[in-house]
Amino acid sequence: MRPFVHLLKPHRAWMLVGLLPAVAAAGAVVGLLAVSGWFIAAAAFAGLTPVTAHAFNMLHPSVAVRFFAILRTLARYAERIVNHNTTFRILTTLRTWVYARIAPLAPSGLAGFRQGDLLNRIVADVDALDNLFIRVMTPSVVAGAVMIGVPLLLAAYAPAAAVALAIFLMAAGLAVPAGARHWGAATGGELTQQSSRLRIHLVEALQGMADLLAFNAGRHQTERIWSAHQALTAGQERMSRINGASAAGTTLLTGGALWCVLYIGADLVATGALDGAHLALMTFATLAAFEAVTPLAAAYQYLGQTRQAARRLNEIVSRPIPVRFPSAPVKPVNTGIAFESVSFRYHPEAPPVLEAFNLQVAPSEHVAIMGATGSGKSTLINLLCRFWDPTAGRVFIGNQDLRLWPEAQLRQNLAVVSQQSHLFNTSIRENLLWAKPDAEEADLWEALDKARLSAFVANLPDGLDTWTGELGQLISGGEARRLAVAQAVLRDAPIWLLDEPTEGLDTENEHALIRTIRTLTRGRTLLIVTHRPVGLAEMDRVVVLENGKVAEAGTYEALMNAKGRLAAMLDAIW
Amino acid sequence: MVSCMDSISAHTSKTARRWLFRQAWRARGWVALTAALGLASGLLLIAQAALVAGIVHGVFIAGMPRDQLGSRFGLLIAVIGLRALLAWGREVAGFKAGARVRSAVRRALLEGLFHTGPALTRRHAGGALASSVMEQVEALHNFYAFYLPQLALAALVPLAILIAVFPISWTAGAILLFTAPLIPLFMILVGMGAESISQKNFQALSRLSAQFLDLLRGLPNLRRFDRSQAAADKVAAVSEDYRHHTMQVLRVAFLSSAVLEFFSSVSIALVAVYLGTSYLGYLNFGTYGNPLTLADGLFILMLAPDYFLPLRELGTHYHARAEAAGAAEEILKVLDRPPPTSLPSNPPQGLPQPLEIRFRNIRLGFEGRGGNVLAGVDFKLAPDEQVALVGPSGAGKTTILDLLLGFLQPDGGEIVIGGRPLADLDIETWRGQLAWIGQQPTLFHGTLRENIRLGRPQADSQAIEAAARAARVTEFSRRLPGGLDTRIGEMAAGLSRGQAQRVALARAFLKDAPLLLLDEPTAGLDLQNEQLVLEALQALCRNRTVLTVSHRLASIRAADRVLVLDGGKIVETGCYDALMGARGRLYAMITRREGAFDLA
Repeated sequence: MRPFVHLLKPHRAWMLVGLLPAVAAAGAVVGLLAVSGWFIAAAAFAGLTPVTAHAFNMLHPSVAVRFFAILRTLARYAERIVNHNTTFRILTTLRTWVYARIAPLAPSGLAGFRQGDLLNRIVADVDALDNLFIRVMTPSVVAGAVMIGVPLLLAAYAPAAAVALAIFLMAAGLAVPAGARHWGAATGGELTQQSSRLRIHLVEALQGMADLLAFNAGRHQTERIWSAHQALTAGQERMSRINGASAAGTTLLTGGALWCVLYIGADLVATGALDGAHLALMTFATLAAFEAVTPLAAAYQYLGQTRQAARRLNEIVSRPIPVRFPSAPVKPVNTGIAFESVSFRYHPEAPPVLEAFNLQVAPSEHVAIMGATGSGKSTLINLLCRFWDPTAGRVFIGNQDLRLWPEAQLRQNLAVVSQQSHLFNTSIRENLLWAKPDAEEADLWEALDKARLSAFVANLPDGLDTWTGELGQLISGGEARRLAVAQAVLRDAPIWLLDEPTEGLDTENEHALIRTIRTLTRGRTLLIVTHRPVGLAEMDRVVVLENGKVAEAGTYEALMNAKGRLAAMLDAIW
Repeated sequence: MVSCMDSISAHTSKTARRWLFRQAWRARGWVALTAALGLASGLLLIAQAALVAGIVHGVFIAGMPRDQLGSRFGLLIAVIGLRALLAWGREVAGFKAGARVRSAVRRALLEGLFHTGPALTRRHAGGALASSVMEQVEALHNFYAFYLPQLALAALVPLAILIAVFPISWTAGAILLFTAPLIPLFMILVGMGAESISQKNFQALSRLSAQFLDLLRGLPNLRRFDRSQAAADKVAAVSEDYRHHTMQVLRVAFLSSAVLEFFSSVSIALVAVYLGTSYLGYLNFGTYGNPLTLADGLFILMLAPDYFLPLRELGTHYHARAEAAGAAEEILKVLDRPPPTSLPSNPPQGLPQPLEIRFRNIRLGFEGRGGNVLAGVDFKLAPDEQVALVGPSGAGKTTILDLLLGFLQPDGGEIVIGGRPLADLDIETWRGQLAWIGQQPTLFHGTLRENIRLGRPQADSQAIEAAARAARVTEFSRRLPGGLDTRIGEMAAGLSRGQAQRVALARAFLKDAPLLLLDEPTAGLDLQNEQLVLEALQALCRNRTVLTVSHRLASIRAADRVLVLDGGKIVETGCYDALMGARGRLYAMITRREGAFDLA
């Protein structure tokens, strides 16, 4: 939690400003009820005889009552406005900080988790941390102020009653939530497990629906899901009993405090040691005090969630940065690429992906790497982007060891089109501008033109400003890939790396895209990783990768004539 | 554009809300019990106020010693104890209400998903559907557990308090009544306010989260563009922007809760001032001619805050309602599907023999795709015939398999099995006759053995091991610590694609069905696995009717017959040599492949 609490520091002033009206509002509730109670009791007593009735000054109490009524309204409003504003500010700080910490980790430092899950979790955890101030700190401070303030008020009239109230308030505010947390901890842990078991069975059923139905196993899987659901519900029911017990405890303590204050006070009034009107004041103040303490139970729950979120986030942001770049520029001699007996594995325990892999790509050469899924093709691109470093061996660009390249210079030299190129949920224009922030409108159109996408974009209702979120319906896989190509064009890099650029495209689009890429990369170095046969004949060289090694290499024609691995792989008609 | 989106969501949430209330019927008993317990607690609160007021009045005005009030103190303990019990009961009964609805909805979703079958699950990202069944169903809970009972209490408890106050002082009753003029109206007013606050706030936050997630997802891209710093700045800029916009909205929206706050404070103040002045003799009306005692006044004053409490609590549960409405929309997307496309169930019956399969003029179109995927497909599969189905991607090859599996129903035409329409057969009996191997077999959580016996849960271990051997599973399971009893599914013990495919083959071996449907079972495998799978397949296909969707020349050559599918129709049929000799579509496709690389 500590690094995150540290992040709250710049917002300290606003947090304090927000706490003031929060405490004032709670004080106003106590004040309104206590003064009202005192006022009517004193008035009733004074009203017993006309003389005392006439002498009673009712101006002050009625002004005080109105003052508290208005103060409560205004303070609540001010508190809401200030604290929501502060919460947004904190959120900005948290997000920016987390983003800046995660950026150098992506993507290699984030491996080992399923990427989608991890990112979703980060977002949810940052949101949970954001609650720390508004849902945990504010109610705690308010409850603390009331826990101290109201017994002090009572102490002025009846110290014994004040002590009783303080004990009951603390029991309700601290012991009950702590007890609920203690008894609920085991059940809470079970709930997490049960809900993940339910999710696992559910997700596998959705993924394997065809297998399940074809093998008449749907009913069996439904039963598995259902038993997980029932276990979850049973756990939740146990939790609800704990919550019920804690609600009952709070009610008992509120009532107990009321009873004690009355019991002690009644005797004092009867013996003349306490003014009866003050007993009314104490009674109402007691009832009002518990209103401020009850929300602590929820605050405790949030605190638990927030702690977990902080722990998980911390685990991620404190990971070592996997690849560090030097700052001194290098002087590459050309745009060739070389892998020198490169070995690589993603984890120390994982099987090797590349083993003593060697490959030279001459400047302006066009090379296709063919291989089955999992043969290590994409790893080559990841190594060239220096998202990972090889386990052994060296990678060169322009005769310079990749480890000597500063990041900015390396990025300038590479244009990458990957199968999973991410389209941001903004306009087409902004997506293109990510690739080249200072591009002019004309540059964007030129890039689209080169990617053979300008006609498509020109025909969109909002042109360049069409939102890609809406493109889901408008854009096909081929067009999305072309947009990535347009980004690559804007990068204007001498080396192009393409990772399965035609995956998921139909034959027509596949041919067209390969032709486009060929034209665009004339005079540039091109490394294309694929398991599709299209376009191989036009490459300067085809390299077949198997089990992390070059199985064969040569021109398409030579390899096909040799009837080796490539020929076997291409024994498919589409 | 934004306003347009809002109006759409307002429109759909109306149906969603109606659906939410309909579901309450499933748990009506528990919802009613929760509300009843809450009402009982409210009535006890009135009794508690009377007891407390009586005690203060007793010692202060009537001058009684404490001991004379013993019965009141005793009753007060009883009331407090009962209220605690009721608080526990409310929580538990409310849980039951929520749990009952969640169970029913989850059950309906599951049945719907299994009934609609892979035609739906394939088209949707697994995550979205899973989240409907998981999170969205969970999000319904608080609506039934808290919001609905509170809705009743917000009307009933204030009413009970008014009934208690009016006989003592109509003026005090009137103050309460008019500071909350016409409670239903007030509730609607406040409800709209509270709902729009939580919705606006929630919308802003969720848009921000979505945008943050988007930038996180794109991080690899941003790094390739060397723009991750710019993205971090963007996170900050957008966040600040949202803060300004949302705060402008919230400043107005919070006014509505301030109104409720104001009325409840002012009514307490008014009641106090009214009571005080009547005690002092300045006011002399509103009590039906009987002078007010201190007990009366304290009783009324103590009930004043409780009069507004249920309304304020309802406000805190409004986000439960908004959340449930949002969840209902997602759930309805799954439940409100057009009638299931898979086959209906028929009573179990024997299957006609022999298993000759005939497609008669089968037509099928999909939503959102112009024209028919299948535009009159005719073919026949004779028993024990091995047929290859070929065609360009998107020609409808997988659709034909889906039709045979009963995952889809044709829009027109008829599939006939041994003289009887497939639609008239019992779907489970029919599926018992076939085995299917797709491109991406799913392995389920459990052991290898459990995965192999998916289609024959009662199979003995001898049969399972024989199937594992035949499918070449034994070759890798031998090296696993638990052999066939190794648990898979956990990340560490994951299998490679090729190994998974061999497990799927073992399933088919064990099922030993007369009809075999293969959908490119070797696509994307490395050479070694491909070889193993092909060898095992050869053994599996012997003496069965086989329909293979394949891109592999070798499989096409080996088939007894080739069906060429193009433009939604079977355009050619015959053995490989004959079709090549005829120089028709198959010939064109294959020569096009060979020339494909010269196209540019």
